Amino acid sequence: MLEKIRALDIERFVALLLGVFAIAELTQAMQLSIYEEFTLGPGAMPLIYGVGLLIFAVLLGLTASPKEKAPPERPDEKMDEPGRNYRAGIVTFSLLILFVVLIFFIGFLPSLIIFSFLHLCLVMRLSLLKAAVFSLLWGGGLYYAFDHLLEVQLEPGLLFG
Amino acid sequence: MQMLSLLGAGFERMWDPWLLVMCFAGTFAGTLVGVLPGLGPSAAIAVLLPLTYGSDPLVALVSLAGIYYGAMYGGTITSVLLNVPGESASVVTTYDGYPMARQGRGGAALGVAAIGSFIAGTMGLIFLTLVAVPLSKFALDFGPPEYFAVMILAFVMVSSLARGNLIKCFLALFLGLLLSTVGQDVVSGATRLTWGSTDLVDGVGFIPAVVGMFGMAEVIHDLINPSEFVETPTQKIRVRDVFLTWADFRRSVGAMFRGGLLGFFVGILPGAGATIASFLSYGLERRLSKTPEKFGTGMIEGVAGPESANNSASSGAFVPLLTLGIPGSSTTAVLIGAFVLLGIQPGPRMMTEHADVTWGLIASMYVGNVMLLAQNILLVPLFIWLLRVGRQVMPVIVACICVVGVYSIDNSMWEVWIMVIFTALGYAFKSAGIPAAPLVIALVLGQSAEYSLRQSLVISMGSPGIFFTRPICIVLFAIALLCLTWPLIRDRMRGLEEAE
Repeated sequence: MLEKIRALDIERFVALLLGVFAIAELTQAMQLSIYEEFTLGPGAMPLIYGVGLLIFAVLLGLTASPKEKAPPERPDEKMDEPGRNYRAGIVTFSLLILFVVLIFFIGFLPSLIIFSFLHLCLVMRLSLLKAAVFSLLWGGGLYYAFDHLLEVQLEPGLLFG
Repeated sequence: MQMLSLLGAGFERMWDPWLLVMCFAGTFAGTLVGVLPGLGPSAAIAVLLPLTYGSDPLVALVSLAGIYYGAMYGGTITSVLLNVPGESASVVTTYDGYPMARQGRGGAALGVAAIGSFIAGTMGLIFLTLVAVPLSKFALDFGPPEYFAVMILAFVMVSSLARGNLIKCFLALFLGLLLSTVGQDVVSGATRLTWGSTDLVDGVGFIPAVVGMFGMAEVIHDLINPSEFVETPTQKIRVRDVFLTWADFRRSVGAMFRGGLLGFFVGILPGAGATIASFLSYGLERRLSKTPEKFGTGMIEGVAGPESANNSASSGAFVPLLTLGIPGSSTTAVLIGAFVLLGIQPGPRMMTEHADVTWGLIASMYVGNVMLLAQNILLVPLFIWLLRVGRQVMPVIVACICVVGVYSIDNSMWEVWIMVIFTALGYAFKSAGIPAAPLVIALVLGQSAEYSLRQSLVISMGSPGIFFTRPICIVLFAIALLCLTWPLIRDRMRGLEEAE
């Protein structure tokens, strides 16, 4: 039952989100010309696509039903169920945001190490020592590969820049 | 003869040591992706896509295609030894592969899968080689209206033949199409839907979108929904166990060829793919067997047929991809994106405009199949070891490569934030059962479709009649219409059958 309600809610949530997005983009598209000499103007296709998105978002919102939920893309893949490890997903996504914010302040190398360490400790439940050793090796190795071997100028961060 | 000389030129390019190294790396990574439950080939290609950005197109495509067909081989190892399919196309292998491992014949199951995959994969490539030249000649007649029709067909096929209901598929398609219009208009130069942001003038990047939707979203989804995992393989496998006995080979060789033939033709159909091919092959072998009741208890034909079929299907999927630019699955949709990013538009003119890349890629698949045969016989113990140690650190590895890889494309944190947004969207899509493939293909082909449409209208002085006076356009639109109405026709026919 809980699963059905959750599936219903996520479908309606996605429908609402995309519906609002479609309306916002339509207001922008309407400011562009839709016709040019012998062909369509720059606003024509965004207008058509925006209307299409809005129609299907409304249809999804109206027809959302847990019964209609698509089968998983891979047969071995399990559908979300209550009791699954939502904590792991939420923590991972939060750490990902923290990772990107940290890059801005302290640059790639420390951020890579901190993200790897926190994820291995908090989500994968590795021992502190194992997590620290792997994070240092992996973070350092990846930074070296990109910064020195591939010569990609990785962000040094506000603090060290 | 022309086909042989083109293929010969492709093999000549493959003598480049760097290409051979990348082919090995791609097939090895593909096998590893197949071995590790959770990460699929589409996610792996998406994650590694930024690393190939800016490199020689053939080098990049050889490694990315290697991941795709390598995953078909790798999925077998966990199916046989742990009863956990590493990839959807290997689900059916668990039916007889795992019982074989429990009987102490895991090595034979892995051996027959490797040899069957090699034979069928090579068969599929021979068919691909045979149809590529005639289709490319036919495609020389294509102009903007035909290109537009091909793209409409691709959108309709990917949406109407994807799993799930049509509303969700078209929702994803229209979102992708709308996002493809963001940025500078290719015809007039006007900026569209940017909300005044200079970062959006170049549009929504394909790489951040695909890495977020397929790479990071899949990692998060798998962390939330972990696969049941048997920690210890039922049997220790040594290299010599993988070599087949003559009796086993004789029993399975027919199934290998049948699976190869069936798999190729199923693989050509968009939306069908390797998974359906493997299930159909299993059903066929069971029907042809004198002892169908023994299937599910460790019949070697039950491993040989499906494993051959899924490999041949992955070769078949390259036919619509290379000749028409139509993807059959989410993995080939990501591959099409890779082609476009590398400056190659897959489709009618690819065989003539980029013949060296096309035939180099086809030749690399022959070479890759030989490499995979060797890897899957000699490196099985290594893959089992990696399976044990790799699972805990895989999410961190993937997440770090996603962030650093996306940043490295333009040295831009903006692209990284776009990836984070698409990660959230990708997870929401997965949870709501909305397929990501239509969005990805729309994002890749949306701009070209719009350009072709507007060019066609200029040619016809603004008349849409141009699409209905050209025979190829009419045929392509008719097929698109059939695809669109096929679910309704099928339901109606079923209803009539039930009524009778």
